[in-house]
Amino acid sequence: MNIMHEWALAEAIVEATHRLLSEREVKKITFLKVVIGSLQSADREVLRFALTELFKSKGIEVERLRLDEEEALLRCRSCLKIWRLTDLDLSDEVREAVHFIPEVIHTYAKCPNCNSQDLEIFSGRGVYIASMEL
Amino acid sequence: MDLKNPVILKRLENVEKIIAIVSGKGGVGKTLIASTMALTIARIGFPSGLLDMDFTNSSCHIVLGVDVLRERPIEDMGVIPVKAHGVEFMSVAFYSHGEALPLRGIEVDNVFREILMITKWGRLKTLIIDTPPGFGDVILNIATYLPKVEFVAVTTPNILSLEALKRLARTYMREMILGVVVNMSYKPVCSSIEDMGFKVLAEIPRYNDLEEYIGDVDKLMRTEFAERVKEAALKVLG
Repeated sequence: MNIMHEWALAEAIVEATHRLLSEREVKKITFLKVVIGSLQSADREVLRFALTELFKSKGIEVERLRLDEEEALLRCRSCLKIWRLTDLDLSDEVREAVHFIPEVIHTYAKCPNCNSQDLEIFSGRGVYIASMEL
Repeated sequence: MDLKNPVILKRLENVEKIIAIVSGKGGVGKTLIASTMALTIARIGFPSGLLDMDFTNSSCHIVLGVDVLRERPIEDMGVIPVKAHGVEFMSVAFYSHGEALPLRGIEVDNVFREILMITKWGRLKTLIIDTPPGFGDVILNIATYLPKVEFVAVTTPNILSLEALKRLARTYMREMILGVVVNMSYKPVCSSIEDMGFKVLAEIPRYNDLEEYIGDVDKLMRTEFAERVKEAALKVLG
């Protein structure tokens, strides 16, 4: 069985955090808030498990880990309309492509108001650290 | 997550040499040279990789004859590149399904970071990177964030292309240029390139029938063009 790409996302978070903590000679995080943008549709439980395991493997203790979801919104640069990802009728194949590289949404999405493809991902792109307390 | 994410370096730690094929002007044959060089290195017997970083308009898959609608990198704690004719191959075209990908600067940065963070290369002698023309986001990201990267600059004898090479030579990226490939050559320009301080890795004539071999790797690799690219590849391998 192939292991999910969420592990790569978790690894990026853990490696970046590890670098930061090493610089400060700290091994414990009291609170870590990670946001999952719905565009990347990362599996929350797999991500939580991968983060927990990878932090443990680095000898980093995370007292409280919170995973929040953020709705994906797109904005048209031409007419400024904002709309939800859920308003788009995307096939499973396209959703999977966006899961790996969120920016490929620019290939598949058009502004529902003016048909432009000059769009920006206004919110909910991918996985990122929103806050950390040491 | 920023472009300095340590995972990017970790993903590239088994790659011995990273070679970006660059040019100031478009239409000089970067994609064909990058793809042929990666194939040549694999045929010489070294583990070889090819990464298409012309995100908005990827086309290495067309040269390799890879059907991006049918083939996919395998998901495995990241993604494993597709093996095409002995080359580990990765392209955003697998996800844009070969269509145009209209992107602005920050979005180019995001794709650059994401594709490097998720791709799990094997142990490679060389990773060849195809790049978009000019000195924009991708080239700057490669120069700034990829370790031990070297450039192979491609030019034609065209005066505008040579001028772009001179401009590149006046930037801080000059130090990264391993050498120059003169493509579609129809007049002698090697000495003027050497006068700029660059080594000429190969001079490739213009072949009018070359397009017939795009997408047919076996035929492409039997051409005189491929022989000339091999000259450059051997110098790149050192």
